[in-house]
Amino acid sequence: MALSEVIGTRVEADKVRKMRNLLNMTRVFAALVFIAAFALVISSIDTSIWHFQSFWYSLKFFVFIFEILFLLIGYGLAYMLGYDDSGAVALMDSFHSAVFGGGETIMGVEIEQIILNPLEFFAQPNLFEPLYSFFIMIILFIALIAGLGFLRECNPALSAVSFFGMNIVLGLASLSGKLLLDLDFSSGNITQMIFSKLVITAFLIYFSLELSFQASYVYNVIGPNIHRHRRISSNIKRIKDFKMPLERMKKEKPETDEESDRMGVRGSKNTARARMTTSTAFSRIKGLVGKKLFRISPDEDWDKMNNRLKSFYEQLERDDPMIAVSLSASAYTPSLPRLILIITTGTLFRMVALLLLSWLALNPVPILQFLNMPDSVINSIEAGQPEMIMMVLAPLAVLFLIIGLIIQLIQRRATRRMEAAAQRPVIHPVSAEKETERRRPRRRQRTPRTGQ
Amino acid sequence: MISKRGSFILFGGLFMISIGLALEGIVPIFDIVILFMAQPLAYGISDIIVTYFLLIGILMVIGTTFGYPIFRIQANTEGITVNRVLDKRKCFAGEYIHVSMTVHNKGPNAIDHLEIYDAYPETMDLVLGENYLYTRINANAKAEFSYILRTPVRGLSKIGPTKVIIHDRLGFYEEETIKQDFDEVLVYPSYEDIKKLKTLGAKRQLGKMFGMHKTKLKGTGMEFWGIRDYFPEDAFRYIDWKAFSRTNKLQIREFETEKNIRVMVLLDTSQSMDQGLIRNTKLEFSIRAVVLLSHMAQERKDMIGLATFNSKVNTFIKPGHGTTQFNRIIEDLAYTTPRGPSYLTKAIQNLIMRTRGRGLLLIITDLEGKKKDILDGIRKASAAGFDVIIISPFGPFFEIQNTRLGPTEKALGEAIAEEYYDIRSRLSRDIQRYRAGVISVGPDDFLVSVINEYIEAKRRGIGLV
Repeated sequence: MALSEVIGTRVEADKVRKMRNLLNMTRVFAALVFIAAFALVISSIDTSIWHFQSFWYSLKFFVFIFEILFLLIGYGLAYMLGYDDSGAVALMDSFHSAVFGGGETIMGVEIEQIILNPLEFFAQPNLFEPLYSFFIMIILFIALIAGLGFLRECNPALSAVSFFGMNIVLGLASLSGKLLLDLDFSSGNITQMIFSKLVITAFLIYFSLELSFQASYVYNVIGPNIHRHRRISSNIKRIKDFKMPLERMKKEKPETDEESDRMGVRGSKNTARARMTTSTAFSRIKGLVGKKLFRISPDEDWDKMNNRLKSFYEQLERDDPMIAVSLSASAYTPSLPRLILIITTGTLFRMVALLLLSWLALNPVPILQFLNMPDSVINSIEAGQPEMIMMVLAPLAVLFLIIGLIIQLIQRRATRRMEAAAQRPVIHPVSAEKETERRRPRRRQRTPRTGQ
Repeated sequence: MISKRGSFILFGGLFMISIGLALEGIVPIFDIVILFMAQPLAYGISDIIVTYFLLIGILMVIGTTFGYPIFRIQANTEGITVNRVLDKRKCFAGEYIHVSMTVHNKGPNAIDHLEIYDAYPETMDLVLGENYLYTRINANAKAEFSYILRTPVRGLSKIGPTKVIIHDRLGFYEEETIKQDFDEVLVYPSYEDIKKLKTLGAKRQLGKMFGMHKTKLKGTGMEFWGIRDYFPEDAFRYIDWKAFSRTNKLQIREFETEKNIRVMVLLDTSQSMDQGLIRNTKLEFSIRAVVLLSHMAQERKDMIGLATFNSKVNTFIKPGHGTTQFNRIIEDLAYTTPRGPSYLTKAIQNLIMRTRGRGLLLIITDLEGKKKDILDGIRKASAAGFDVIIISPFGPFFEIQNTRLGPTEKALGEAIAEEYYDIRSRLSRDIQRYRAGVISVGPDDFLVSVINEYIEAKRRGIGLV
């Protein structure tokens, strides 16, 4: 192995190791934020929700629903077979004891009552509380699994599931007053707002989503390079190690019709009639010889291709010893410290900007003052209402889009000429002479002489 | 503009805000219910959750929109230039091409997520490396990648265009552009058959059939031919006196001179010649045959010319010999594309006008033009003094692949082929009236038939120069 090759391989390996470290680092960071957000969600919900008894109770409830359906169908069948009410109920009762076991009640309601009035089963006073807890726990569990799935696969769709799961949990918990968050900030005070638990929870949940997108970015930029490097390096190694077999180990079997059909080559017998009907007759032997001579065997072809590729690669390597680096595209990999710096500063900048802008949206008074609105509007109760928030938010969001479009317009105008040139296809011909020859008209049109 | 992910988050934010507003709207309804029932409800809506949903919605909406101006400043695709370099632009089928790409960010800003896809023709195979790159690229920096393509099919192909996609780090926005930059690659027909022939020729396995055959004229010349008995009309100077002293019998020493022949190939490049299995069409086999024939003629110093035609004569190379002639022929074959209808008469008329010397005229056509046109063409060629041989690839041999057909389709295919045979045989009989031979060939005996006709012509001394 040449020295340059050894150095190149080491440099590449070092780069790949650094890239993998960065990817893992981003994952760890995303995991930490996700855990913090998840913990905050759990701590924001009253502990009375976290009863695993209600979990089992709900599971039992769903199982009993199926049993009740079964019993009702059985009751109907027994009635059709000629049993009277009491007989059918007694039959189902004994059936319940024999098949499902247990006493004469299901979740405290007697079998007879369930069969004769099934809605009574659902009208129990303590039924909805455990079901409510059950749904919250299940959704939180899904959010947890999706979050963990994201950390494993870096698929942003999973982090979105986790994000929406946590929000649904908070929404559900608030319905029965189990949400332990307070509206502990006035919209005018930004410091109060920053340190409010409600805002921190919302920010952390959103931050975990954004951070997962950041991790996904790192994974998309770096991940393919790592895989590509690994795959192409192993391919190059295989090509280099390839040796053309001197002779085939297996003797070639006489080709059957089916094999020749599979290869897309018609058997000679199919051409016999054609030969017979034509003026110049060919012997079958010549046909067979020709078939053997010019046939392309798949194995032979594969070996030749590999051998040719090997010599082609070796030639390229002689001309450029760093060809492996170019093929695996590892010559230009993003600089690790720069990437960390960009991600960190970018994320911090986004967080600060988001905080300020959301404060501005939640607190429209400064904007109303800026717009010289009358005091009656600024000091009105409606100024703090969600409708007013929407009135500020909508123009704010559209403003950014408009600014972006203006920038695009300016860029387009500046580069209009360049674009016009870029839209015309540029074709680099095989050789200039041949191309001119091909495009030149066959005969030059003669222009009549004017006689002057 | 805003990507799928960005749209999802933006509309998700609007949805959250809607939930917040809806919950806020429901609060008075709960109040009315409580008023009527005169007791507190177990479930209710608090202001906290309304604020929470509004806040999270605001974060999502602003989060997706406020980065857009920054992205627009960065994502100027015009600042990205892509330069493609090929190690060669001409090669034989089955060879490899190394394509190296250099991406240059000439803009003043770094691009966080750049995707580059370089398109290559379907007729080529990617064997090593990848034709795309995902990277981050700094301002005024370059990124390089390369890949190796295999060129199994002859013809003129274009590598390109190049697609450039710019994303932001969060994947909320994307900008896409296609750089219409193409590189032409000319792939000559495969040299594989010639190599095989050379190998077998060297081994002399098929000496009688495919070895070097010379057209020799006995009589004068330098090369010894043989000894035979003397006949009274023989000249005395050819008597081998040494042999006479040894055997006491008058014997004649014979010498020979080598003569070359003239072969003109007329290749049909109409659309119907494109039928057949992918990469093994009638035209591809015909081209393989012409390459092989040209090589053999070049080796033996025979004159060979080529004309390709469909509705008119597309290319014409007058008969000649030497390496340059061979190169000219394969170059024209490389550019050949099947298109248009076939008019044989027009092509032959043109050929007669352009060529002075006559010789063997090898017409490679599937005879799928109009019958009258074909017969007229052959008649004119024969009348002009050409020895006409038609090598005709028979369509069904190139198309039917038994394993892919069910029994009904197979039976139908056979029936169509039978019908086709009859038409072909009637046409063959008509053609033979003009002293022209027709050979229907399939993939198995295509090349052999062409070579055999050449060898036969050489043996018989058709079109001696």
